[in-house]
Amino acid sequence: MRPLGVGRQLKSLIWGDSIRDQVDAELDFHLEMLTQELMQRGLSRESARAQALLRFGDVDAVNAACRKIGLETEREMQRTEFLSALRQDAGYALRQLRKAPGFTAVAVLTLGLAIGANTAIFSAVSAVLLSPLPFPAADRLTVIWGAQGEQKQLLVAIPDVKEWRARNHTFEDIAIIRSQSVNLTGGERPDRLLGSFVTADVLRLLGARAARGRLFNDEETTEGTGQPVAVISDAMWKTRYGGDPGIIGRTILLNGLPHVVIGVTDPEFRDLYDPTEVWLPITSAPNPNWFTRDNPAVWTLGRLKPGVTLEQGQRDLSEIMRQLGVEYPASNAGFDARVVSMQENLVGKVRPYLLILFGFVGVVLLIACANVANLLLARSASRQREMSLRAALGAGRGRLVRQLLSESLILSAIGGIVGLILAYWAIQWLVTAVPGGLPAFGKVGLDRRVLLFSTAITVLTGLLFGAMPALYVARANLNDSLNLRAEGALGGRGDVRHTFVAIQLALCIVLLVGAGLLTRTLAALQRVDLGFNPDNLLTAEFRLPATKYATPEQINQFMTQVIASIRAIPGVRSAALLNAVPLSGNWGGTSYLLAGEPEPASGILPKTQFNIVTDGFFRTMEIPLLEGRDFAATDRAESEPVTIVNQELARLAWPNQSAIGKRIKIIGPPDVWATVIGVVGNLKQLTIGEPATAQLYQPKAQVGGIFSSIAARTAGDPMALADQLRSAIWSVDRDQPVWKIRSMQSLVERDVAPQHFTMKLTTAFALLALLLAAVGVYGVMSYSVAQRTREIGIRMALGAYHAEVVGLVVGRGLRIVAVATVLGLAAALAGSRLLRNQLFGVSATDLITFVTVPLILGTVAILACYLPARRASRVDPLVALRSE
Amino acid sequence: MSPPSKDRLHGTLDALILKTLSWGPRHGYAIGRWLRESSDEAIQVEEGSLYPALYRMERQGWIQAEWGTSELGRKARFYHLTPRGRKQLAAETERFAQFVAAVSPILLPR
Repeated sequence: MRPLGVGRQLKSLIWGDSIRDQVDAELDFHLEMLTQELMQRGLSRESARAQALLRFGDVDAVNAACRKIGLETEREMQRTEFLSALRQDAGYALRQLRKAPGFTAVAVLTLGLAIGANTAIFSAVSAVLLSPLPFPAADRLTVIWGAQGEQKQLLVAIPDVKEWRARNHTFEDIAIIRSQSVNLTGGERPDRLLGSFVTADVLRLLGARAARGRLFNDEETTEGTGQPVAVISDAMWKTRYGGDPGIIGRTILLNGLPHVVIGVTDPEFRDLYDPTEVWLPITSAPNPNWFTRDNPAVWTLGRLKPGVTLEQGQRDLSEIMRQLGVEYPASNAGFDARVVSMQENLVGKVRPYLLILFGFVGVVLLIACANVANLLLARSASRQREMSLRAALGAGRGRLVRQLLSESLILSAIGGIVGLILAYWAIQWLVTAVPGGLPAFGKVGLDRRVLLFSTAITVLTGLLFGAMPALYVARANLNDSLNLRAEGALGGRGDVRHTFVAIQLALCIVLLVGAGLLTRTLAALQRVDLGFNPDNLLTAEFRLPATKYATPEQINQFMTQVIASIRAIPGVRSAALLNAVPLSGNWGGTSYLLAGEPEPASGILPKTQFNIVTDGFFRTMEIPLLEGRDFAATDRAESEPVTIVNQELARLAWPNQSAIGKRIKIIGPPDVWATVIGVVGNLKQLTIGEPATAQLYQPKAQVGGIFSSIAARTAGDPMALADQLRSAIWSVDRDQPVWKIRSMQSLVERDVAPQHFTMKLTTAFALLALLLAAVGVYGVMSYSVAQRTREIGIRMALGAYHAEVVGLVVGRGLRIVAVATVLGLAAALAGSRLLRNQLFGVSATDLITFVTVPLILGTVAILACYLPARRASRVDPLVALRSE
Repeated sequence: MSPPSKDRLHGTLDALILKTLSWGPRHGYAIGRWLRESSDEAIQVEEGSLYPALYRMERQGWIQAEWGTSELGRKARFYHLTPRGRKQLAAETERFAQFVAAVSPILLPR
């Protein structure tokens, strides 16, 4: 068959020449006619020609002018022709889609779901991972933590930070920050503010500006020259002080001390974590031990000098910490610093989860593509005659390919629009549903970048799933197929469709395995023995102002009265005070030395978590007392120091011996030699996933401290007692705020929320993939059954049983499923390694997951094969034989 | 008297060409000769300037050209009016009549 398009293409290639020829010929004709006319009047040919030229004017100029206009005309005609062809294609495509509403609906819905999911997840990826942080020179901004052994996110001591500032060569500035709640009193009721104790440069590094008043100057936050001043946030100024214009210069009571408000921050200012309400100079620290070398109390913001890498900064500080370890072995041996980029620090935890979800929706999109490609292939087979007819009527092969591609592009465009609508809702849901909120500094939404992404994947999917049918038309011998039956003309197409289905199923297995592993992770986390009973447990926190409660006696008296009044609340079965509520984010760590053991030569002592508790703590938490006794009222400040250790510490310190009566030095300040009086079970302090860790308890009466938490076992819903808990505290001191009143169960849920959320979404995506794959299998099987109706009819006429026919069709489907399963499991084995860091209590090659998934997939696939097979077996042989 | 504006000149030339073609297809040379003769040689434009005008009008869609054979057996491009060209001629004629009606009482008082 001669390609019809070539002639025109050729013509357009030499179009410029043809216009030139045309103008030349036309002007030449005119001149020749004029010359002839003049010759008829008796002039010689030469003079006639000369006069003709004279009368004509500037031939070259006229020629050029005509050629220019002619070319423009041609170009415009081509454009018009192209646009009208496009309009024709689009109109034709739309008509075709409207003619097959079932096909169109399935394809559009498939694409819409896939594109929508991709758009929604990408909007989160874009806002969290791709948007720059809103701080000046954000790429050089770092957080510097203390580090020791496995612990990489420790506080550091202010004297150490001073040494960093003095000795480093890589940082422009290192600023000190300590976030801690602050008691605000003097108002109607005592309250707790989110506070930050800082040096002046913290606000400068974060690019904060004062909307009113001013920010700190360096003297105000430096030891020796520090001033009782405060900067408050715009939100606090508006909500708590009603936007009072006279706020600057006002004195407020913070932690019981008068502070003068000197500034209000710009409303645009974004804080790093929870929005700070009040900034105080670090010199307003509630505890003087913040400034000692043996008490790491702060963290730091560092800005690298331009051109300095993170690694150079890290090496620089590590070297200084090594020197300090030599100079101050008692406090610094084994301590290091860890420099983390601000970006990593803010979004590092979310990144793997976001990337997992992004990977999942990407695979869903591929499956959707394969699905729609298969639908289109099935349709193009049934449209074989239409195509042949159009070809016979003179449509070029290129034109037919373009026709098919514009159909698939229009299909994907409609899918894309549906996807955007779905994404719009999905994003709104996502923003509120992500536990703890997305750490996004950009807005999560359908912004330009997200729309660009959606458009790109829409066009790409259109081309991807449209390519196959188009290729077939391009290759098929269209003339022949006019004469033959459809299936005869397109031998081999069935194989391609089977390959597509196999790919779909294989990808589906990858997602199911991924979701399965994450589900098993969550189940493992939820099965973990916390070491205590989280049901009906109420927790809260408070911090006494150091000014009002200056002596251990005053503090002890408050604690004793408070615990008594909490225990008196009706509905409270038992209650105790403790420093750090498990899974609340609070925790304490210390070093210890066993009696009779020399100090290690390295100067690095073993570590243990520690908690300071009142009597009744273990009973309230239902932590088993394995040996010895609980703390008692007789363990007083002036009596012999005692301690209770957990099973893990007992095992590490005194293997195969009883710990009771052993002596242990708890490194302070001040260092304390204590006698072990009891051994209790291990509990999960920081996170449910942590391994058994050494833990040690001291009685509150012997250690003291102004900060405390409350744990109360209740008879019913713990949160129902929140108000009574507040009143119990206020009955002792009406100025004492209490906060973070939460049920233990909510803390447990919060701890596994990221895994829970990821599991839910990945499972949803995997099930969507399964549904799409099932539709794919069903579609292909139905189609092949329809094609083989004659064959089936003959077999049945020859006496085949229904079961044989069903077996025939299902067997064919099973072959595909088997191949897909092998491929999918291999891919899943490779892919699941990417999930390894997000797994808990289950290996990346978990046998149960790898066995269950093919079973589920196999069942669904067989069902999807069985339905068309059953229909085939009910075929009336007579009807089948007549069918074409 | 200042010379007529270029627009008016163009417009007039266009109108004359359209008028010429209103009696049937002609090639460029025939159009030029007809213009010359029917105006008693009063219109003496350089004949070359006819062609850019023809190409421009073709672009406007007022006229269309086709290759054909001239009376002397040579190949020539024949122009014919399109429906749009016919409308344009009517509009130009109307405009000219209005112009004349407006100007004549002043320039040619009775």
